Amino acid sequence: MNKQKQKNRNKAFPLRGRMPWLYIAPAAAGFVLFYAFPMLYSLVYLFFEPDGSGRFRFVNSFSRLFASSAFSMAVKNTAVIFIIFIPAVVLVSLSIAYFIFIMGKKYFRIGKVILDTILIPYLIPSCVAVTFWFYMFNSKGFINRIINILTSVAGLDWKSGYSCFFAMFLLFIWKYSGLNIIILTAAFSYVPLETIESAKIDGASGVSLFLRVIIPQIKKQLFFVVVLSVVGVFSFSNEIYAVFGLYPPQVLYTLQNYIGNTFLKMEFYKSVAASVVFAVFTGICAYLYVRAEKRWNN
Amino acid sequence: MKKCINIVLLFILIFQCFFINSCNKSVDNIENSYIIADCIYDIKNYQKISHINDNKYLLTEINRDRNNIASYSLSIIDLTSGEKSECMYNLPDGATYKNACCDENGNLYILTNNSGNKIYKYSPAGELISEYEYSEIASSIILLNMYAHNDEIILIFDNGIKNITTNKEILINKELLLSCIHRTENNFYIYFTLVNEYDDKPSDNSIAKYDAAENKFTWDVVVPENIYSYNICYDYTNSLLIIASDSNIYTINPENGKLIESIVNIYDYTSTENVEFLLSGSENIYLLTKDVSEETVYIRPIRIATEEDIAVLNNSKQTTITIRAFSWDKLMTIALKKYALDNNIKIIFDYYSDTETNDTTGYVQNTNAALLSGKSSWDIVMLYKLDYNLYSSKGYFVDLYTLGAKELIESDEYFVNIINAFEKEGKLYSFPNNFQTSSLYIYRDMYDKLIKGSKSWEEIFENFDKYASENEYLFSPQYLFYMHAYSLYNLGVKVNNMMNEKTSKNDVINEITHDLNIVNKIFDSRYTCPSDNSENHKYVFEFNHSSSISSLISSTLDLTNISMINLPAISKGDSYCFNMLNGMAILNTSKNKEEAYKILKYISQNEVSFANYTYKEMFYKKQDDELNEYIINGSNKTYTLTESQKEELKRIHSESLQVMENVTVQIPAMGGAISIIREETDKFTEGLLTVEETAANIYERLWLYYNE
Repeated sequence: MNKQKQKNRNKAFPLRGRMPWLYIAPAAAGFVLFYAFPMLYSLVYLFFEPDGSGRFRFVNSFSRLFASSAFSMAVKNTAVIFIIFIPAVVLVSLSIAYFIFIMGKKYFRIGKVILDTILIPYLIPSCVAVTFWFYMFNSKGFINRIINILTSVAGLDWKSGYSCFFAMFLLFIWKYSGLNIIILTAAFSYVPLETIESAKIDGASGVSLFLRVIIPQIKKQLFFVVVLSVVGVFSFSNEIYAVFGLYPPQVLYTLQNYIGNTFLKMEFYKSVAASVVFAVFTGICAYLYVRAEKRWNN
Repeated sequence: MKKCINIVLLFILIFQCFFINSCNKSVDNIENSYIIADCIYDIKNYQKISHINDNKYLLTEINRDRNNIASYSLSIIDLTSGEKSECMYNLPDGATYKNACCDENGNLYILTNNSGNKIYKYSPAGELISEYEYSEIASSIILLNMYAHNDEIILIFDNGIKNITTNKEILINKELLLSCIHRTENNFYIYFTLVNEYDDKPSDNSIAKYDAAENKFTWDVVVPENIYSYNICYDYTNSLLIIASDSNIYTINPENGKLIESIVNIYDYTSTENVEFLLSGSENIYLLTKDVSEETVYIRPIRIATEEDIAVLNNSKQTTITIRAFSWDKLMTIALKKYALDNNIKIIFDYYSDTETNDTTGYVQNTNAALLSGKSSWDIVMLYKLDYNLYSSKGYFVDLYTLGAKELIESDEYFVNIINAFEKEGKLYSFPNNFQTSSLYIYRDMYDKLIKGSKSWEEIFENFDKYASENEYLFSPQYLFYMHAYSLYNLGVKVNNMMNEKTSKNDVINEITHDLNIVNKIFDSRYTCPSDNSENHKYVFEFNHSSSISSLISSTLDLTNISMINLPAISKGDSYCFNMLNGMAILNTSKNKEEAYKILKYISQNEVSFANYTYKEMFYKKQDDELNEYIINGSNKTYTLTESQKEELKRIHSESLQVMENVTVQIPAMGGAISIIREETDKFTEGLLTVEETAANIYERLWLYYNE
């Protein structure tokens, strides 16, 4: 009887049960057409010379790629940026969000003002962020003036050497911590106060309370913040390009620069090979991330 | 499954409908369209053509003697019979022809500019009847058109006050572009196009009709942006025609200004900007086009296509050559369209941009992507902004020696050093299509006194510091800009070579530091003459951009003191030619390599490369002429030179050829490396970085470029 009813319903609503697929279809088609297919198609350039001669070059592509000292430098720099930028932005966001969480109880208005304004750097376009950067760090910029007043040292060059790495690090923190803070503040606000109170009664101090009671309760959001920061590092190449052009100082030369530049120089096999390496690396990271998340959740 | 098949079938059906419709449309167009027939007049030394009546036009030709003194000759051409007869109208001595027109009685009015502006009126028999003063016209004004309505009204259309005036009053005070007139028994109408209108009517980019009897605009119609009109003509069928920016000739209803249809496309015959006139005859309309030199015109009838024409069109299997270039190039377009007409081939230009743009990165990316896909339809690529070394090393170009370029180059017309720059491992992948070199004019007395024998800039500065007095300088006020560009170019080429040769970091940085210090000195005010160039100031070097003798003559006629030398090397090593060496190459994927090679040969002819004076001063082939008139005439000024001045010019010209022959030509490394050097040296020039910081930054960024 139920089966008959189900059949009748399906006849009346033929798309019933398939609606999720229909909703997702446009996005999926776009993904396949504009991302998946070009990515797969680009692999062709690993196997053949692009001039139509039909010469095979698969091994050659990777061996040349790994022989390129600029590629090694790009990999090293990308790794360094990952290792330094992501933990830093997560820690800064976590600290500020926790500060707002604590202060919010007493000074609600201050917390609200911070939350209202903190997202602005994330929302503004890269070119505006870069203009801000120039204002802060050019030879007669705000930072140099402050340094000049305090130490009478004039005109520090923030566009070369390790100083530019530091300046870009500050720009990254400034731009990408805002969204993280909003998410983490929201996460903190959902932590049940009872658990905190009972932990305090059980003798938990400030640090252990934070690490052992609060953090485990916001771990899902924390993972999400890490993912957002990884995405931020990937897209941060926009700002690096806007400030330094195609060839930034060596400490900021990343895989994105390498891939883009080799494409412009028609070294397609190198850019594709580098993209493959990059994709594999990202895939491994994603896999490790998923496993780690599962483990922690369990 | 069945549904899927149905959907696919439906798509096929819709597609077929579109396809069949478009085919039918295409056939309809051929059946109803006009064709542009073969050239009936090929007029050299063209100056001006003016309508007299029916099919008759008054033609003015200009002749120049060796001293570049112009004389004008008038003749009458009949477009129907094709006859050309000597003109019976003799202008008074010294009168220079400007324009002519006829009234309804056949009287001819010729406007001249001797001692003010005079209009001479001739009877149909050629007798001078009367003359009018037209003092309103300043000598600088170019008269675009003149119409005689009757004895009382002569309409003059000029570009100065940009309006139409009669010999008595201003009739239409608008900023006009082009106009034509249609006379009836008791009235006349002026049709014109307008730009940048000031008052409310008629509006921008419009075509308007003025009714003289009513003294008002009957209508004005704003034409769409994409068919901005270049020329306007009232034809024998009482239609109004415009040549539009989309290369179509449109008919317009003269009663209301509405577009009727496009009758023919003129793209293959001319660049739209070079359509001088649509000529209206009693039975036909004619297209008058200019060639590259703008001194030769071609007149072709436009007529309704016959069945025979359509059959020929349908059966012709023309070879098609596609040329890829960065932006529209007047010289190239007109020259190649002429070549295509003469050789019955079709040439398609694929410009990245129709307008002037600096988006060279986009152009390079776009070109790379097409080449990468292997699906580009291009046969020839103009190398502007494309990296010759990169493309040739990747096997995209055809070795021109396999197509017979060796014999052509061995004819001793080409500069060997320019060809050598394009040669790679015994193969030649490109022909030069323009080349500029730099050299210096020196004032001999100053040179001998101050720096003779100096072989590098260091020695020049040293000797100058030793011998120069207070009012003596090294460089002319105009020098700095060129010197800056030159020195950076030299630096770029040198560093490029050093990085390729894997020179050590210290050596590269030392070399850059050294060169930048020299550049710094060049900018020192002690060495550059102040721009308030009083007579007391003297200087040694006058920068000469691409050997323009015309600029030399316009600055001085005292040529005995002038010599031409190569630019001294910034430091040790060669002095490279400054500026661009552009080439053109045939793609390996071209299906018509032989035909493409013929085109390259054609473009490299002197007749083509010298034809347009804008390009006259760029040359890459040796000139046999002792002294080319074009060069003297390059600045559009006429100079009467004495015999001794001519001799001196010959000497300077041969010196410039020697400079050309001895300069080390280096194909500029496009893109990354040069732009890195530019960016960093700009910061140095602005005082943001020290020499040492600049050198270190350049090396650091270039290291990445060369190690990717």
